[in-house]
Order: sequence, then C-alpha cells, then structure tokens
Amino acid sequence: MTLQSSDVRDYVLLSLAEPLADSGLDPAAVPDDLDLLDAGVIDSFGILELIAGVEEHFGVEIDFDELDPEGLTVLGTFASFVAIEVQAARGG
Amino acid sequence: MRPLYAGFMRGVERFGSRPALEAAGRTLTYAELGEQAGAIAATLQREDPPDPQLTAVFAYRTPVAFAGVQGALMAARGYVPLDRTYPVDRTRRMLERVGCSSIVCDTASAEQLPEVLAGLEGARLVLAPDHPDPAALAARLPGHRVLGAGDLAPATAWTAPDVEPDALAYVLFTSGSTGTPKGAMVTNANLRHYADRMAERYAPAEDDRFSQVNELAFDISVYELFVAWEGASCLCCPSRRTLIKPGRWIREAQLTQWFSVPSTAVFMRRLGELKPGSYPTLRHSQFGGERFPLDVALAWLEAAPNGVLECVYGPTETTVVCSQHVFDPITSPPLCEGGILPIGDPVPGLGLVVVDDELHEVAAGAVGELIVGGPQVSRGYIGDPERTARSFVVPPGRNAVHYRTGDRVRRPVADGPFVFVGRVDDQIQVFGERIELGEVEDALRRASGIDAVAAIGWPMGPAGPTGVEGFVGSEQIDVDELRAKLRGTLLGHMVPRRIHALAELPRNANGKIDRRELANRLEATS
Repeated sequence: MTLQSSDVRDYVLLSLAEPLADSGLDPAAVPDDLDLLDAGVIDSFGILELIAGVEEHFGVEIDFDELDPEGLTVLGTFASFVAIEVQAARGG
Repeated sequence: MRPLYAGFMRGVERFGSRPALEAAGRTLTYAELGEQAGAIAATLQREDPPDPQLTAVFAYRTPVAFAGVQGALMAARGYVPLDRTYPVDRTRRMLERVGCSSIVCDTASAEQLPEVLAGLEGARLVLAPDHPDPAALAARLPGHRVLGAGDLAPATAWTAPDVEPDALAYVLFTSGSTGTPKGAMVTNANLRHYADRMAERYAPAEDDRFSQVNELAFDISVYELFVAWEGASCLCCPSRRTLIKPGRWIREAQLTQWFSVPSTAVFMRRLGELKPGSYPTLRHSQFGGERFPLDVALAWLEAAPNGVLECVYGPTETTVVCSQHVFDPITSPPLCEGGILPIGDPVPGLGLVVVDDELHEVAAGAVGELIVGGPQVSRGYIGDPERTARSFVVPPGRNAVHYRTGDRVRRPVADGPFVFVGRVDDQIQVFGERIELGEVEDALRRASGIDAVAAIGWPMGPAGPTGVEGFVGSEQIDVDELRAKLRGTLLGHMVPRRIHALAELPRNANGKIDRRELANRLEATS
C-alpha cells in the first residue's frame, strides 16, 4: 500500500488536536500552507515531539537533514517529505 | 576605563566597509550601523535628560535592535532590552521597574507601544528610526514624543562621553520567585572585565563571523554583541524559523563563532544536523545556560572538527560567564558526573567558592552552594533592595560582596574543574531559560483562586527538564480556561504544558506539597 502525504497530514492533525484547538483552528479546515510555528501551534520542542510521534507511528527513522527549516513547520511540506521518506524506507 | 562603545567605534573607524551585521535579510557595514547608532546616540544626548541613565531597546532581530544597544552606550546610558514576543503586561512591568524615559523601537515592536505605555506615568521619548510613518505612531501615543529617522540628530553631532565604571551597561530581567521579575544591574566595569577576558581568550578578528542566536533579553547575547564588536567581526542574526533547524544557515553564513544553549545542539542532532564534518568553518563553539550532556558534546565536536568546544557557566548576576571548560574527548569524559560536562575553571580574576549553609567553604570534593566574587559581580536587582540583600552577601572571613548562585556545585579536587550538581532552590532551567517554579505557582494561584497549587519541571530530557507541568488542588477547575489565563500573564515557556486538577495534592512530612511525588505520578502514567 502506498503511503500518501494526506495520510501523514491526517496523523499530524490528529496528534496536534489539542494545540490546534488552543489556537482556535479547526483541523478539518486548515490549509496545507499552515505554518505550525507561526500559528503558535507548536514550538521547537513540539516539533521534536511530533517527529518522535511520526517515526513511531509509521515505524521508520527519518533523517531530516536535507529538509529546509520551512519544511519542518509547514504542514503540507512536512507531510509530503515524511510520506516520501517513509515510502523509501519501506523499499517502495 | 575604556568605554564599552570603543570596540565598536574602532570597527567604524578602521573597518568601515566591512560587515558589522546581517539581520532581517540585510547586511550593514560598520560605517552604516555606526551611522544609525551615532544618530540615536546624538539624539539621546540632545533630547533625553541624563538621569535616569537607562534607555529601553524595544526591537526584535532587526538592525534597530543593534543600533539601539550601541546608541544607548554611546550616549553613556545602559540599555534595557524589551521583547515584543513577551506578554505586553510583563513588558509594561519591566518598563515601570526601570523607569527609563527613552525608548528606541523598531516598527513591529512599536505596534505594541500604545498598550505597553497605557497606564504608565511620565512622558517618554520614543525613537523610531525605521518607522515608515512616525506621525501616525505619534498620533497613537498622545503625551509622548516620537522621533522618526528624519527627526534624529545627525551622527556627526555625537560627542564621545566619558563613562563611569559604576554606571549601568544594561539591566536584564530574570524570573523571580514572588512573581515579579528581577532586573540584574550590570555595570560598565562588569562588562568591560568580561569582554576583555573573552577578547583575550577568543581573539575575535574582522574576518570572524559570530552567530547571534540569543534574544537580547538573554545574556548570552551580550557575548555575541560585545565580543564580536571588540574584534570588528560580523554578527549574523537569523530569523526565529532558521533557528529551529540552523544547520544549513551555519554553513551558508560561514560562521566561525557559535554560542547557544545545549538544547539547540540536542535538537540539531535529532534532526540529523550533527553529522561528522558538517561545520568546518566553526573555530569556537560555546554552550551554556543549562546542563551540557557528554554525548551531545562528542557529536558536536565531530560535526565541528576544526574548532574548540567549551562548556561555560554563569548567572546573569555575574555577567554572562564565570567559568569555562574546554572539552577534550579523551580527558573530559572521566570528569563528567551523570553524563553532564563540568562547568570548568573560573574566568581569570573571579573567585568561585563552594560554601555550606553558613557560607563557609566546604572541603575539596564536597558539594555546596556556589558563590561568586570579583569584578563581574553586578550591582544587584533594580528597585529591589530586599532580594538584592538576600542574594548579594559578604561571607564571613571575606571582605567583598559575593553573589549566591543558588546552584549546587562540587568543589574541585586539586586542579580539577568545578562540577554542577543541581539547583539549591526550586529554580529550574528549560532550554536555558530560567524558571522559578514559585513564579509559575504564584500565577496558578492567582488565576485559579486555589491555594494548593504546584509546578514541577517535567519531563526530564538529557539536558534537564524540558517543560513545566502544573497542578491545582481542586477538581472543579476548568484547566483549559486556566491555561488560557496563564498565557496572558506568563512567558510562553513558563506556561505549564498541562494542568492537572486533583482533589488533593500530596504532601510530605513537613506539610509541604510533595513535588517529587507529583513527578512520580506523572512518570507512572506517561
């Protein structure tokens, strides 16, 4: 089964449900270009938690070295990067 | 005494066309930044009464921030950094406490000024050098005087003032246990001593490129600014986002000097940014402000193999850094305790003494509270003689004021290093930011109306606690609403990540709320 970036996106939104609500954002309606840092949804520590969660959920270790700082905090960019990395790690 | 502005002015005179600052997407030469700082200084000299001798700098990662700091010093004033990312209420209280009559602000920070100044007494002189419409700003600040770029005195009008060694260089606020932040008063003589020792140690030169990653309200920035300027080096100030993942920026900006909290390195390693040989241009890296784990130090040294790596230590009250440990991959590991690097040897000229409860020195190898004496001991807390008297003491048998750090430290054996063991009181550090748990508890108490509250540092990461958790002794509290209230009164990193409403808080034998038991419960349920 191919992992889509929308799958990653769904996981991210689910794990950030609480901070999203704190920031007054509706998970069903957030755009792909939402910057989680600028919107105050996560801080730098939150990013580490998110990454740890993503790796555990999808069962892979991801090297984020090549990703721009922007890619780390913008929802859509983050989701597609993770999807590609997970797919590559699974050998597909 | 050589004035603090002399280092920067040497850069202006001898290296005018070299870069002084990269910030907000712009590069300013020493001549350009000197022009801006000179105009601010000349205007303060012309317009602002010389007493009280402090100027607030309300600017965030823009050239105005740096020109403002330098301009204040060139006008023989100390600077008080204010930060628009802090709650407005806290900024107002800081301004009220220091009572300065002049404010240098950048455009984005100026947006908050009407709210910050509301309710404060006295007219302020507001310098807004990069504001596109100073008249509109003035209209929103009735009763105050606003000067835009066109209203400033020319830099040529500046006359170099004498500066008294005891005059303040800056006031930086640290977290206070009663809910009021404490403003540490650092003098020109304090900072002169520190800057001179560091310039000797690191020999900054005009081709050096310093990271400027720390907020002006955090005193590592004092190293960045003043040591870079002593060497006519370039200060490289990234955006907040770049700092989340700074690896590429370190390479592209070709940084040679780095100073941050260890958590930054922990983050970078997690993100795959500490691969061997990643940062060949770094010639000196320093980490301080929290515990520095050995495994992170080893990874950093591999990533920056051409440079020296140091673990440094120092409270704001003793001027940035008072001890330093040069990391050696062979000899340092056996000196670590609990996987944490030692804090090293005193900065030359400072006296570090480990004492017992009666302030008598403990035996070599024993643990006690660290007290610090010497030329970097600041003048105490502004407008707060009581807390100053508690922390700045003359120990029995000594004749000079020492600062009680509240840190538990192991006294060296023979020529070994000082080793940090823990905090004496309930002050914790999260990513280098000091947090008095008492201040968080005070806010919790006021916002909830409940007396039995607690705050603890949790969870524990490799460099200490990575967050704060709150507890209230009542099940009737709406914790979401309570957190929302706290966001209005506490700095972001001090707002508890979670608040737990319990029918009753556990207490120890003395009837005090048992924080350890609370931590155990969190551990058990995580």
